Amino acid sequence: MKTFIDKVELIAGLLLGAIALLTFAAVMLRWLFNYGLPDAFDFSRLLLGTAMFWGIALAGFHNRHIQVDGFWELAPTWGKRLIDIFATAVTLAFMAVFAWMLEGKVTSVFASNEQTFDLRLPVWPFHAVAALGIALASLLLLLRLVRLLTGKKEV
Amino acid sequence: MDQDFVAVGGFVVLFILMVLRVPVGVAMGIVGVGGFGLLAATKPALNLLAQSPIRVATDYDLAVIPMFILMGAFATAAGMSRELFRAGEAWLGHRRGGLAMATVAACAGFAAINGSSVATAATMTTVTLPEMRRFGYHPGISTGVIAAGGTLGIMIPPSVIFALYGILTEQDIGKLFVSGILPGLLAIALYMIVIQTVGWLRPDLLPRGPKASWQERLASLRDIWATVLLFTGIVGGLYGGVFTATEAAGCGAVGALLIGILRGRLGWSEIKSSLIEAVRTSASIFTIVVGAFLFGYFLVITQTPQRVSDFLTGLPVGPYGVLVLILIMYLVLGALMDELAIILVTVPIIYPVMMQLGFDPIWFGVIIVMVTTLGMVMPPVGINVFVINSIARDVSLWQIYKGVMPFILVDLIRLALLVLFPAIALYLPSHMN
Repeated sequence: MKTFIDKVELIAGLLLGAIALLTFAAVMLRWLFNYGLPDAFDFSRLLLGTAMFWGIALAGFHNRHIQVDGFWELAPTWGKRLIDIFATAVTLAFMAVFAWMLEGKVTSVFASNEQTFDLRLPVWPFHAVAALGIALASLLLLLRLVRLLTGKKEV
Repeated sequence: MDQDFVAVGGFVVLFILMVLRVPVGVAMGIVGVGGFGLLAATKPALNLLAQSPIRVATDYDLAVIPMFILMGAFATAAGMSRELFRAGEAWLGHRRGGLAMATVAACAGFAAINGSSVATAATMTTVTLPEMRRFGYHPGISTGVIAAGGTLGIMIPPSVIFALYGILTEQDIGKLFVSGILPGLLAIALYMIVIQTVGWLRPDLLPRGPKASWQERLASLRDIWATVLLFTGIVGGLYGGVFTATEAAGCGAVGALLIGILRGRLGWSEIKSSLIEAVRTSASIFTIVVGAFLFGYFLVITQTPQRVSDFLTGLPVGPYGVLVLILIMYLVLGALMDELAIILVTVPIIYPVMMQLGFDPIWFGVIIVMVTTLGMVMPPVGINVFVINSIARDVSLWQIYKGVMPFILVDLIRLALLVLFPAIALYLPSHMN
């Protein structure tokens, strides 16, 4: 499982790196040769969506989301566990509905044959991969919830 | 369902969810979709989940955040923070409190290539604290300097908070970045005065370090060329209108990467961990940005900003009285909550009030960042203080808070100066291309 998570994290990171390189290349080509890199804008934003949705999944798994910890810090160990179970269950419910709605969005983008501006490439595969990230987020949260409920995950 | 009931109930639910440790972005999303569903209908509310988050996550302008975070990660991995401190140490270390001054200078330099206050505080704790301890600096003052210096991370461009404010209020991010330069320089000057004064009053707390030779001083300057190049490239490009903020961020990230590789500081392992770190940090920010946009629908349908605006502008205290009330609210919130959460929850409500009262949007952005930085060092929940304490376990929270107090005092003076003289923030952006 850890190897899989590490690989996903690296891929998401590489997508960020790709956005930086695309932006840099687009600026340099425009500045030096007055040439616009085709679809640099569309690719950058679609890669960003994918990287961030997969990143959201990983942030949930690593418990790296921005949270208000004051009350949790004051609680005894059993209280901390209860709070964590509640927070994870609520987040899971939200992500599950979110993943379900995104599935509908991908279907509609596929049906409308939405394309990138310059190269006329279909947009739906990017949306599909991004949506998979939120589906993964739901799965990872479910895993975290099970580990919290069974006491395998320390608070 | 009654609009007032949903509005009040929404904020109560938001508060409860956040206190019970539901991620801030998720809590905002739940209230946004739920509140919209109660006042409109379930299907359009669920549709928000299908449309809004993907639109936000694929917004090219928002790429400015992960790109600057990536640049900061590469710069940190390439050891640029250490070079900045070494330069400061060579030039200032022999003065009383010189290492503390060098820390402020290094924080300012690091802030110029990284947009996060927490990252600046964390990095500088590992770089500068051992040196200050080695020369017998008082632990409270040493950590207090780092906590305060860390706040420069979001005032001096690039800044994640300025970028978020710009996106929320549709203001030019480049102008916002440039507006932070003079207030940032003012902060550096005031922090130096504080250190000088403490050294003068209590010389035992801030001993002198060894004097570096001119050769060493000049050599230290040669080492910081990369930081200077990155900062001037980014800010110069923005100021001259060569590229947008997002493009500046992307070029900055690639620039930091290339410099690191060419100097032999970045191998595959460092690049990999920088990429992963940037994804983790960016995703946690994007979660609350997505949540904030969903929460925005709740605010619109409950007409909360208009109501708050009507209430505040109706108070018999005048525009500056309202401003003071808002600043007090931010200082209280800043001491209790994460700075990103505060900005994303409150700016959509407070910004229309400030515009109705006739304040400048860029200036208000600087004010917001200023009060946010104060919240990051103020008890009981000063995030910079917590970060330093998590690294320097032998220095208590109380010691750090005590050490940062003089800096909080001069920050309050700086805030007053910014309110009295808006030109401190507005002079540079008014001359931009």
